[in-house]
Amino acid sequence: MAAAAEAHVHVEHPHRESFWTRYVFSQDHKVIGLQYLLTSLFMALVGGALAMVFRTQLAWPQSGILKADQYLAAISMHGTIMVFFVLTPALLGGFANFLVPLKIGARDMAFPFVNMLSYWVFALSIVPLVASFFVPGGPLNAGWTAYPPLSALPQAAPGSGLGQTLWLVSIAIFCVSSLLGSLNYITTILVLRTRGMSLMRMPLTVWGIFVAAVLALLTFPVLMAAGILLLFDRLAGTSFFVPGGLVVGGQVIPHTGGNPLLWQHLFWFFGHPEVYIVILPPMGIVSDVIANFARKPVFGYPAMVASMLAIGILSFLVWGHHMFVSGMHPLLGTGFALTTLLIGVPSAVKTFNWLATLWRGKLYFSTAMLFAVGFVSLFVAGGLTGIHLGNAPVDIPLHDTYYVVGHFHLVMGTAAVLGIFAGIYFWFPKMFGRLLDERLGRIHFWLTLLGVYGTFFPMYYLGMAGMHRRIYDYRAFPYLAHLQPVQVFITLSAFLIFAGGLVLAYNMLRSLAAGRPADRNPWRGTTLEWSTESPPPHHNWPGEIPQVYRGPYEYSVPGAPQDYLPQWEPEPAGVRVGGH
Amino acid sequence: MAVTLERPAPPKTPPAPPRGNGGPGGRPDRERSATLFVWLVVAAVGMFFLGLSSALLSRMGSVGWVPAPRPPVLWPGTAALLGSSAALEAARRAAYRGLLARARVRMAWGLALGVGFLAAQLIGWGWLTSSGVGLAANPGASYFYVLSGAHLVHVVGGLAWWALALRRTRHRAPAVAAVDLSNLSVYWHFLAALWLWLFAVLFTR
Repeated sequence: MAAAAEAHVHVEHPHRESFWTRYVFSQDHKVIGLQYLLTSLFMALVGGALAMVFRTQLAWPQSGILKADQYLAAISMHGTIMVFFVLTPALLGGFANFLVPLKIGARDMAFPFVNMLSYWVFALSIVPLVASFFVPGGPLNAGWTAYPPLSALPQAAPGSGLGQTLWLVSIAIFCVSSLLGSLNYITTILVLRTRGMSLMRMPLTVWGIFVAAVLALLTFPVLMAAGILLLFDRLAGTSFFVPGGLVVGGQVIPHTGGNPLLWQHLFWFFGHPEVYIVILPPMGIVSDVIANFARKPVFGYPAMVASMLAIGILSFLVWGHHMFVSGMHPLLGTGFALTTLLIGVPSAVKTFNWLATLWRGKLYFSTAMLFAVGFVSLFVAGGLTGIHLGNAPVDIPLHDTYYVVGHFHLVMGTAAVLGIFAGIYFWFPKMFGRLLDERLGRIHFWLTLLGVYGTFFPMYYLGMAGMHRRIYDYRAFPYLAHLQPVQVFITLSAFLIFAGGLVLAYNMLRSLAAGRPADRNPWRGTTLEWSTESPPPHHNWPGEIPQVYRGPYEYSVPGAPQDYLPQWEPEPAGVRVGGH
Repeated sequence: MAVTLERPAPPKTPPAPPRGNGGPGGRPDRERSATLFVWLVVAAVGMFFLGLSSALLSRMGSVGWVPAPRPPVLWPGTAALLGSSAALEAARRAAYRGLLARARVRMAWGLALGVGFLAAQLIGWGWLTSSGVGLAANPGASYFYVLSGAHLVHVVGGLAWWALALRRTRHRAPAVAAVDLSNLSVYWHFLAALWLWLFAVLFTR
C-alpha cells in the first residue's frame, strides 16, 4: 500500500531525469536489468571468442596458434568469463532485475540505490579481469577453479603472477556485487509483492530467481573468504593453502603447513551451488515459456516449487563430488555420492513436469519455445551423465577428462545459455517494445542446437577414450593422437555456436531499429509483466499496481472467454478456475 | 439412523483476505525491507566467517598448528565490545519507550566502547608485531591477523552506521529511531557474538 501511495505521488509529479540518471546511473530496475544483460552478452562474445581460439588450437595442434601458457590462460579465462561474467550476471542480474518487480507487481526493487550499486560494482569487477590480459605473464593459468599451489605461487607458471592476483581481486569485487544483488532480490520478493500475489501464485521464474538468490547470498561469501586467504598466501607469504617442501623452479619455497585441499573444499562449497544459481532461473524461464506456448498450466506447479527448494537445499551437500580423487575417505565419498544422486530426484521431477506440460498441449514452436524445449533436451543429455559422475567409482577414472567437460557444458553451461536465449526471445518485446525476427531466431536456434550437440556430445566419447581436459597438445600421447578428427569435428561444431551468437547479435540490433512493434501482451501471457505497456514506463504501471486473482498459468481454462486468464483480471462469471 | 451418500456442505467461512503484500495493517514496506536486509547481511557475513572458521578448525586439527600468543589487551577489548552491546540494547529499549534523549546518551556510551574495542584490536596487533610475531610467522598468527582483521572491517562498518544513527536520532520520531536502532543492534550483537567465537577458537591451545 505504501508503495502504491508513493507511486501515485510519482505519477502525478514525474521527476525529470538527465541522460546520466536515466541510462547510466539509473536506479530503474529495468534499465539496470538491461545493463546487466547487455554487458553479459558482450562478455559472452569475449568468452566465446576465446573458445574459438583454443578450439582451433585443439583441432589443429600443429598450427601452434597458441603457446602452452596462452592456451591455459584462454581456457581459464573462458571458464571464468562464462560462469562469473555471463551466466551469473545475465540471470541473477539481467533477468532478475528486469522481471522480478514486473512479475510480482512492484514499482521497483526494494533498494534501488543498492541495485544501481550492484551493477556498477559488477562493471568494476570486469576491469581487473580484462586488465589481466595485458600484464606480464598474461591472465591466470590455473583454470577457472584456480587450484593452489599453481594459483598461490607467483613463480609457478607465467599466469600465476600478476594475472592471478588480478583474477582474485576481480572475483572478490564480483562477490560484493552479487551479494548486493541477492539482498535486493530476496527482500523485494518477500516484501513487495502486490495484493493477491501469494508465494504460491508467483511465476516459476520468480521462484527460480528467489532460490538462486538465496544460494548466492549464502555461498559467494565463502568464495570471498577463500579468495582473501589465497590473496594473503600470494602477497603476504602466509601458508593457508601452500604446503611445505614444494620445489618450484629448482628452489624450495618458504611456505609450510598449508593445505591445498582446503581451497577445493571452500571453492566447491561455493562452486556447486553456483551451478544451481545459473540453472534455477532458466528452469523458471523455461517453465514460463513452455506453459505459454503449450497453452497449458505448468504440470504440477507445487512440485515444481518444491523441487526447486529441494535442489537449493541439497546443493549445499554435494560439493565433495568434485573431490572424489583427492584422497577423500571412502565413507565420506559415499555420503557425497548419495546426496548427488538424491539431487537427481527433484531434477527429474522438473524434467517430467516439463514433458507433462508439453503433453497434448497446443504447441506453437516460436523461437522462445524452441529454445525452451532445447533446454529440456540439453538438461537431459547432460544431466544423465551427472548420475554416472556422481558415483565415486565411475567418477575416479573419468575425473578431469572430457567426459566431465561434456557433462557440465551440456547440463549447466549451454542449457543455461539456451534458457537465457529463450528468455531473450520471450521478453525482448517487453524490454524494447519490438519483436525479434522469428526467421533469424530459428536460424540462431538450429545453429546453436546442432553446434552444441556437435561440440559436447562427442566429448563423452573423448573422455571415455582417456582425453584429459586442459591438455595443450594431446599428440604427445600415442593413445590420444588418433582422436584428432574428433577434435576437428568438435571445433567445427563450436564455430556453429559462435555463428549463432552473431546471428542473435544481428537480430537484436536489427529488431531494435526495425522490428515489428509489440503490443503489451504479444504472447497472450498470463503473468503481470504483460499487463503493462511494452516497454513499461518508469515505475512499471501508469496507475494502480494490478491486484492478482489467481495462479500464474491459467491457460485453456474451460468456459473462459479466451484461452487464458491473466493473473490481473477478476474472475469472469461462470468460470471455475482450478489451482492456487 | 438415516444414511446419506451425499457429502455434507462445507461450513460457511468468511472469504479469505487477499494474500500477498499490501493487506491492511502491518509494518510499512520500507521498514520490513530494512529489517530483512539486515538479517540477510548477517546471514551473508555469517557464511563468510563460517568459511574462514572452518578453514581455521581444519588447520587446527592438522600437524604443525601453533597458536598465536594472546595479546593481553584483547581481554579489556572484549569487555568493551560486550559493554557496547549492552549499551546499545539499553539505548534501543529507551528509544522504544520514547525516551530519545536517554537513548542518545546510551548510544554515545556504546559507541565510545565500540571505538575502544577497535583501539584494543589495533593495540593487540601492534603488541604481536613488536613481539616478532608477524602475519606469516606461524599458522595461529596468520589466522589471528586475517580473522580479527576481517572482523574489524565489519566493526568499522558497524561503527559508521552507529555514528550515523546517533546523528539521525536528533531529527527522528522515536518510533523511527527505535526501528533504526533495532536493526543496528541485530548487526552489532551479531558482531559481538562472532568475536566471542573467534576469540575462543583462535586461542584454544
